[in-house]
Amino acid sequence: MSASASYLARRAVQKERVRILYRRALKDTLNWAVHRHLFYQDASELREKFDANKNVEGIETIERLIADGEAAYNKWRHPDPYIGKYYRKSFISP
Amino acid sequence: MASALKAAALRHIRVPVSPTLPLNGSRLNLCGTVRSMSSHGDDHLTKEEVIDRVIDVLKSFPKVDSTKVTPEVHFHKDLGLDSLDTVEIVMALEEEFKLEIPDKEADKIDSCSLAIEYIYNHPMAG
Repeated sequence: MSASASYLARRAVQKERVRILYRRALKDTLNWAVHRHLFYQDASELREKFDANKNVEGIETIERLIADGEAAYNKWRHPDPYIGKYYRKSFISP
Repeated sequence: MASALKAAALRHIRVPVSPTLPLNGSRLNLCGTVRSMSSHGDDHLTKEEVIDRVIDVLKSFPKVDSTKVTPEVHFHKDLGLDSLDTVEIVMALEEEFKLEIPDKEADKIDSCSLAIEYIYNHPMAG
């Protein structure tokens, strides 16, 4: 029973890491693609990358994927963040 | 020595503010300035405005069935959205209200009512 509880706790932590990674990567995409149409495309691709791994099983595999994702994010982080308003507009007119 | 200087400086700064303070012969009206620096009052959004704009952002999200949107909806349970959709919605709300929400706090917003409460209570929401 305690093994299962710690498994669930670990999975919960992983899910939180994924959500926060997605959030940061998406914000970074905003920084890199100031023009709306570029952002929409990049955001779409980013979402697809995450969705592709949606049903992966195996806690260690998931751990590795998250670590790879975080490393990729840190590698490509924009040095000069732009505070803009392009995200919401991309909802309405892709 | 430093504290004496500081006390002297503070005594100097403590000038009573009156509505018309003569400055170089002209009258400088400080009333307007003081009022605009107030953190309370009409410049904060009303709850109704926050609700309307949050609903509007939700309805404009392509994966959302706008007929189901109410101020009480839960993003996953009622609208069938997943965790990444929720991330996107929270980001859209940050843009709409010109807010930067810390990651850990943003992660807790998973329903319309939580979003409304958070935004309404945020002093910088615009």
